[in-house]
Amino acid sequence: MDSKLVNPFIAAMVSVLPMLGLTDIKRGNVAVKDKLTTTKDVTVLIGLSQDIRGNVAYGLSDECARNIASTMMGGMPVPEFDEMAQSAISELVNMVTANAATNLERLGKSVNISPPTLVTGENITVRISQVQTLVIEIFTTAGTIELNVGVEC
Amino acid sequence: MSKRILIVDDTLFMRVKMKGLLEKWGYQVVGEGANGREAVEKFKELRPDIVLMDITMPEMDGIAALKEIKALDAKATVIMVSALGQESFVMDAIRSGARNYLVKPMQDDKFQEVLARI
Repeated sequence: MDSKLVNPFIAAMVSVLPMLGLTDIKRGNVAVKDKLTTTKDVTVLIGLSQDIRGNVAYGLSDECARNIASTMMGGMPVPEFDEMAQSAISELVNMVTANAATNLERLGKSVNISPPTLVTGENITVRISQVQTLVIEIFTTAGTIELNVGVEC
Repeated sequence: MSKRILIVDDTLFMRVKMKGLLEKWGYQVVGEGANGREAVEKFKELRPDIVLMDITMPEMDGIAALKEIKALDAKATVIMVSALGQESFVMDAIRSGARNYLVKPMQDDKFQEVLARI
C-alpha cells in the first residue's frame, strides 16, 4: 500500500474535527499491519470504491466515543453510548471520510464512499479484510481515534 | 407563513440537529426521511417548500431521489446537504436540478443564509 494514500485522511481529520468542536488534533504513532482488524469498543467502517478500493475503519474507546458525541451535541452529557451518540459518531466518520475523498480527488483519484457501518461491544475483534493496513493514532481533547486505512489503488 | 421543510438524511444526529436549527429560525419541519426512497414518498405526500437532501444513503441515494422529485415536480426546491464535496457530485446535483449544495460540516450562519435566499 502506498503510504501517501493516508495523508488525505490525516488532513481530513485535522480539517473536519475542529469544525465539530474537537481541538488539539495531533498525529501520534503510525504502524503497519498485515490485515485490517480492530479491537476497540467502537468501530466505524466505511468502504471505498473506484480508483481507490478497500476500507477505512475508525476505532475508539467507549469513553472517547461518548466524549466526542457530547462535544458534537454542544456539551450535552452522554452517559451511555446510545442511538443518538452512535449516530453522531457515524456522522463524524462520514464527514471525515468524505473530506478525505475530496482531498483524493485533488490528487487525481476518484473515490466513492459507502454509508458508515458502526460496530460496538466489549472485548470484540472486527476482522475486515486481508490487505496491508496503515494504522495512525489521532489525538484529540476528547480522546484518541485509531485510523485504520486498508486500501489499494 | 413559515416555509415547510422536509429533512432527508440517514443519520439521526443530522436530522435532529437540522430540525433544531430550522425550528429556531422559524421554519416548519413537516417530515423526515432516512433514505432516498422515503424522500420521494414523503415529497409526494407532503409537497414541502424545500427538501434538504443528503447524498450517501442506503436504498436510494440523494441524487437519484433528487431526479425522481424533479420528475414529479420540476419546480421542487431541493438543497443538497452532504459531506461529499467532490466537484463531480456538486456538478451532478446542480445539473440534476438541485437549487444549492451545502458541504457538511457547514457553519450555521451559512446554512441560514442559503435558506433565507429561497
